[in-house]
This record gives sequence, C-alpha cells and structure tokens, in this order.
Amino acid sequence: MSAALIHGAVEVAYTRRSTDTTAQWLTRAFDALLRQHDMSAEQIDGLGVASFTLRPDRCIDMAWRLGLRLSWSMDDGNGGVSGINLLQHAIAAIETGQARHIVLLAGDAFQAKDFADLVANYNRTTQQLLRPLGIANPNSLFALVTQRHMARHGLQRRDYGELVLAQRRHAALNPLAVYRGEMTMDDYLGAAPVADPLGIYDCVPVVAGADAILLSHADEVLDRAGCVRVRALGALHNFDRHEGDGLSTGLREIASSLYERAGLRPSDVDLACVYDDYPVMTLVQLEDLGLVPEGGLARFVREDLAAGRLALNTSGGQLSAGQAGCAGGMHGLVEAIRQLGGQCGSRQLARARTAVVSGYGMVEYRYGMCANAAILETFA
Amino acid sequence: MIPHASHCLGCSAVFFPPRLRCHHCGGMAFEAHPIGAARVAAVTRVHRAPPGCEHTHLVELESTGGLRLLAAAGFSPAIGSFVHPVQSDDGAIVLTKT
Repeated sequence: MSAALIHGAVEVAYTRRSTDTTAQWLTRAFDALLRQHDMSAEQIDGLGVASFTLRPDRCIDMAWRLGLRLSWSMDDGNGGVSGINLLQHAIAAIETGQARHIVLLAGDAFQAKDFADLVANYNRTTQQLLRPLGIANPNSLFALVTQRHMARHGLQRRDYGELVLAQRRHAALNPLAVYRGEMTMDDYLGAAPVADPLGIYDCVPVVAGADAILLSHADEVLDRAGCVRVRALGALHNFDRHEGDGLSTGLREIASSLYERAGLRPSDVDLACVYDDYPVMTLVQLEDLGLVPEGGLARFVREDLAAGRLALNTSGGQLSAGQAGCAGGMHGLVEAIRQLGGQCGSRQLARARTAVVSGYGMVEYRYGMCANAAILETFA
Repeated sequence: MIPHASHCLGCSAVFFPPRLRCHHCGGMAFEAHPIGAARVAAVTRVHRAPPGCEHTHLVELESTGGLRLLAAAGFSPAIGSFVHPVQSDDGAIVLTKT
C-alpha cells in the first residue's frame, strides 16, 4: 500500500468576478486547508501549484508569499489535467521520502484581458493557426467535436442537455456552486446560441476561485478518519498524436489497467467525477472509462442519468460550479475526496467508498491532447 | 496562397500542422506540399464573432492522407462537399465562395 494518504481537500467559494489576485485566491485555499486540518505552515515541506494567471510568479514565489520552506516544489499549468498530474507527482514524492506533507494548490482569477490573452496565446499552434481565424476558440472547436459526436452516436441536442440538467440538480445541493438556479430542458434548448450546436449552458462558465489538497505520509497521520488513498492513477497524453477525430481520449487505452490495479470493475464505482468543460467530452470520457458501455450513450443520457443510476459530478461539475481556470483540473478531485471523506453535507452520497476522477484538456489544434484518471478509495 | 502540408522526406508520412520530427521514421527533414481539394467534415456557425471579424463559420476539413485542418468562412459550406482552402499572410486558412 502507498505510504501517501490524501488527508483532505477544500474548495473556497468561487465567484463570477473578482478583483483579488490569483495569489490571494491560492492563499485563501491554503489557509482554509491548514485550518481544516489544524496544521501549521511549518509542517508543510512540499508545494505544488497549478495556475494560468499566477505568472510571472511560480510555485516558489507562492511559497515565499506563504512563508514556506520546501524540500519539494512543482509547477503545473496543464489546465484540465493539472490536478491529477500534481497528485501523481506528489504521491511519488512522499513515497520516495522527498516530502512528508504536501499541499497542492490550483486556482485562477482572470481579469477580462487575462482570459482573452490566454485563449489567443494558449500555445504556438494557437498563435499561428487559430488566432488568425478570429472565430476559433474552445467553444467553436468543441462545437465541431460535438457535431461529429452527435452524428457518430445518434444523439440530439437535448441528450447533452440531460447531462447539463443532471449536474444542475446536483449543484442545487452545493452551496459553493456558482450556478445553482433550476434549469429546465426548455431553458437549455432555448439558451443563447454560442457556436452551433452549443448554447451558453454547454460552455463551462469562467469564474474565480481556488482549490487545495493535503497529502501526508501515512506515518504522520494519527487520525485517519476521512482520509482517502489512491488505488490507481494513470495518464496517457497525446495518445493519438493529434491525428484522430477527438471522439476518444487516452483514457480509452489506460482504463482497464487502472481498474485492474485498483482491483475493481467499473460497476463497483460509487462516484464519478469526470472532467466537464463541455458535455460532449464528459460523454466521451464516460465511454472511455467503461462507465457507459460502448454504443450505450443514448440510453445512458435518456434513462440512467434521469434515474440517477450513476453519481456523476455531484458538485454540479464545472458546468454549474464554475471553472476557475486550472482549478477546473482539481475540482473533481476535491469533490471525490470530500465525498469519500463524508464531508459533503446535504449532497453526501449514502455510499461513497470508491470514486473515479478524470482530467482532460490542453487543446493543441482541434481537441484536447491530455487525459489522466485516478481511482480513489476511502481509507478503511 | 494555398496551405501546405508537411511531407516527411524519409517516409511517406504527411502532417498538418507541421511537426519537428517524424514519429514514423525519425526523420527531421520535411518538404511542404500544397493541400488541394479538401472535404468538409463539420461546420459550426459562430454566433459571437469578435468585432471586425468577417467570418461566421468555423469549418473542419479532411484532406488526402487523413489530414484535418480548420478554416474560417463567411458562409456555410455543405458537409461532404469539396472546397479549396486558401491561406492568408497572417496564417488564417479561409474558404471563399467560388
């Protein structure tokens, strides 16, 4: 068994707009995490940070602001996979004696100019081939992916709406979700169009906020109630070398090995926190992860989702809770850790012992290149 | 001008956008070949174009060798139809009505 335990996690309440800096948001999450675990900053010897807008600062500048002395530090700006990526490295760091208590932070607070800048300069390919088009951005790119996905699986617009509505029903029970108001299928179908077939409720809302996770060496944790351990974690980035159609991810190739290492089957999973920047990508990952049988997406959205047969994105997901930049890559992990730890209040699942969490993102040209996933379990 | 695909000189692999090293043969020498007709694979009408942008549709094209490229257009080309993309000086690949 791994020596690394996930001790706990926090999400500070996101807001639609903020004039606070990203460093202030990350500090808030750090402070809330330490208070939750009654720990002092002296004990923290590892720090990992995922953020787009912390620049020009890095992890070490954050450490200086927080007064930390570190034997392990790591930056990660890989958007939707940053949370699980940091977790992967933090576990290895604890197992190999590089650190005893690691805090992982993720967060962003965009000013209007920051966000436009991020979209226009995401990478060189974006600068050279997407920005000049004027209308190429994540919304229009995933509109194309959605259109081909609809044709492949025989889905209608309202099928994606079922996912959005299911997550909004969860959000109503999450006081930290930014968008909690009731949504009907008419609201969804009648929403302002963004890029056909996507309307505003298909596009993840950008908010400001931060999340934090505490990992500790098992020997350092006397009271292990609420602790979570990672049974299996894997990643496969650039799996198709960006020569495919974007309708599958690297998860498709690693899922069976993940379940095998965890000693579980997909049907054993109590909770799935699947990266949800756009509904289409959540459906793609559900199939890749074996949580929906091959070719079964139409039935899944029309019957299983409405009946609540799979606990999916119980925080409301990013589509309702909001996407605070790189915190979007940690949001699902935090929800899973808190559900497994029994800390989710009125939305607490009756049975939450195992969870699958996935990350997805980093659009090179036409779709995201990166994918990773972790299987978590309540520490018994 | 016509957009160009990147042909590996060491093997028959074709890339777009260009890579720096061919993952098939390890070659690092490439030659640019013009992309001729391409098939329209998907089209989206973008409702929130930035001010001054004359394009209304983002189009995914498939060319020979399985190459896929993105183009902007001021109209909605029919899915399955063949088009001849052109590339502006700023790098934008666009479709024009012929």
